[in-house]
Amino acid sequence: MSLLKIENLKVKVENNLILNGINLEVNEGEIHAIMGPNGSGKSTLASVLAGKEGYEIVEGSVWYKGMNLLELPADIRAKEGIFLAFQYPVEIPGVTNANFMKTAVNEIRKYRNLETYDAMEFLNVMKEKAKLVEMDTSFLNRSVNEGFSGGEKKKNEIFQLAMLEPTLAILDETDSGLDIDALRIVANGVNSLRNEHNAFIIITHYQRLLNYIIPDFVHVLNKGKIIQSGDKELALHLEEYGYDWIKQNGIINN
Amino acid sequence: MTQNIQNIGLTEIVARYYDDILESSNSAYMPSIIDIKKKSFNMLIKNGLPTLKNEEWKYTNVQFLNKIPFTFERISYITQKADNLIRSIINKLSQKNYLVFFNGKFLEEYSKIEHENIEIINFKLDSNSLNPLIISSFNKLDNTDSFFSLMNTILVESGIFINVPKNNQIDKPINLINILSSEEKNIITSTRTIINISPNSMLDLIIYNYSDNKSSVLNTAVNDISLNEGAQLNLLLYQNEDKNTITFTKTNVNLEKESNLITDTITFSRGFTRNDLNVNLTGEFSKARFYGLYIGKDKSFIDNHTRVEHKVAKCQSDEFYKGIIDDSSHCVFNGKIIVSQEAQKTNAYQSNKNILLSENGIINTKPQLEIYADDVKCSHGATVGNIEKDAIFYLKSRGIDEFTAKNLLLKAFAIDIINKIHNQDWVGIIESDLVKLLNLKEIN
Ligand SMILES: Nc1ncnc2c1ncn2[C@@H]1O[C@H](COP(=O)(O)OP(=O)(O)O)[C@@H](O)[C@H]1O
Ligand SMILES: [Mg+2]
Repeated sequence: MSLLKIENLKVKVENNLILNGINLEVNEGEIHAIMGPNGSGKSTLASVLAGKEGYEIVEGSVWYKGMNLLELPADIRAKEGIFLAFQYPVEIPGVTNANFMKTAVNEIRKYRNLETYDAMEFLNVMKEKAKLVEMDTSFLNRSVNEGFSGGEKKKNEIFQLAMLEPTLAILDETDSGLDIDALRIVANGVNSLRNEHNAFIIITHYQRLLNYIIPDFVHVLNKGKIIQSGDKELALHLEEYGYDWIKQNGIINN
Repeated sequence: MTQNIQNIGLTEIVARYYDDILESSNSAYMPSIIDIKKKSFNMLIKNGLPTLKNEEWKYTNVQFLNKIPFTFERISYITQKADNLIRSIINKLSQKNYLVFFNGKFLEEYSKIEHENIEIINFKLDSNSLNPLIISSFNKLDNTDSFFSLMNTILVESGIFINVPKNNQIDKPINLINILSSEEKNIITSTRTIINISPNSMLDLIIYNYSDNKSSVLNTAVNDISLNEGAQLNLLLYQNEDKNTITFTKTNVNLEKESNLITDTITFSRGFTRNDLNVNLTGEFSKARFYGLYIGKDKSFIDNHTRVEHKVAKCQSDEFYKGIIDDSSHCVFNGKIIVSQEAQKTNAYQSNKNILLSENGIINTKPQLEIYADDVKCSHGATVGNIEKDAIFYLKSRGIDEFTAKNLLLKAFAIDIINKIHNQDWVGIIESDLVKLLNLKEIN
């Protein structure tokens, strides 16, 4: 079933056209990878989908579960199951990870008319999910991302993903800067969370992560446009040719 | 003395009191006290009520005080309201160790202190013998005295003297609980606290001010604190007063060699508050860490003036004040650091961070540095901003609505200071007052 449908999306940032007619359809159960050179608009697309303010939608539409996504505030999108793992997670001094997740999970559960967790249940769920990303539970009492290493921040994103169990998860360069162990942890997290009812959009600069998370589709983004789509083989070709080649010649013929 | 004095101006009100009490031939005070009060009165008349032209009062307009018909009538019978209030506070303290004051008057029957190794005196200035430390404390008049600290010296009739003898670690905190409440009359109250901590002793002290008034209360407080060699004081000043309360505090701390001051000034008052904190580092290797948090709501005015003077070498001062300014409130932070020529190897840090939540709120923040030594590490910074947009988006992207996200971030901003308070009872009390004050959702 179609989960997300992006049609001819054109977006300006500070009067520059950054997304220039994106078309993309994601169905339940699928994993899509979006690859592209720096500055091609990957993070912009992710932020627009997650509901960040400051973008001017020039043209096009985004449908999510039959709703006009672009009209919903960011928190409602999250409550409806959209999740963005940030390329640069934000530090929030004074708010503990535990408090952050408890607030988020309970807000989402309230929205969905589910009972909120009590403190004990909640702690158990958190401990279990922390294990999934191999984080020591002591991090739960630390301030959100404050003083975390790059790898810890990325693992924390996956921890939050596991806590919130979204329907559509967008991972923005979660693999960048990770060593091989952290990469494996992130990939395991994603693989254990995927099922036939949810979908993932994995934004990455490198093919590396796609050895662990096997995508159904790979799209190449350049200058705000998807210039080519294919299966996982396309990622390997991209790696081989390099982004400079793409920038000069456009699509790869095989 | 009991008649109402109509709109004659505050200076004149003080002058009439002075004439009544001190110029009368049958004054009960000792000559030394009369002398101090006279000197103070002369200074007060000479200076007059400060105006905006005075650098120290540039943002702090006190002329409205001339329009309030204050009376000197004492209201010290305990109302049911005050009784409930005192009991509810006492109930929240896990260590029952407190002195209670009502409209400036010490209430022995409500107070409870279980300390052997400590001297606590409720002194009366009209008694015929006073501890020399009390007299010398009153004698310290200088150019940091304002109209209001002078007024305190002229008007005050009693006070509390706490003396910790040598080599005593007083582990049980002492709570000074000041309740103000007046239903009809515009009253003036004065409190005086003198603390002496002898060498190598330690004290935990909390000064709590709460008020609930239907008429105006003008309250002046002077705290004079001496830390002798190797002494340590943890001091929390927590002000939670209503919109009808006008408070002026002056806290003087003198630090001798290797002594250590840790103090937090938390102001949630909704009326008018001016705090002067003067820290004098007079002995080598002494350290002062003074933090503060102020929340401006409605039409409140909160002014924190701090002044730290490094008089000798190798001392450390660490200052950090945070403020949230909402509604039509007006907050002022003025932090003065003076490093004298002899004070080499000084470490002095100062930071002031503000969140301005409304268009009608005002914050004036100003560091003032006077550095006369050359081997000094000194840093300072002041910021005024809003709640960070990126942080709000991060929280929203996890399903937290904008209102709750802002709540969470505001609370986090303030909690940063609150969590550093040394006393866990008060961390809890202040945190729950904060939630009420900012209309935050209780989030656990
Ligand atoms: N807030 C912004 N203000 C101005 N330009 C921006 C902003 N965000 C992104 N851009 C520009 O948009 C383009 C795409 O950026 P981004 O989406 O971050 O690319 P990618 O994630 O693919 O590296 C870049 O040229 C970048 O400079
Ligand atoms: Mg990016």
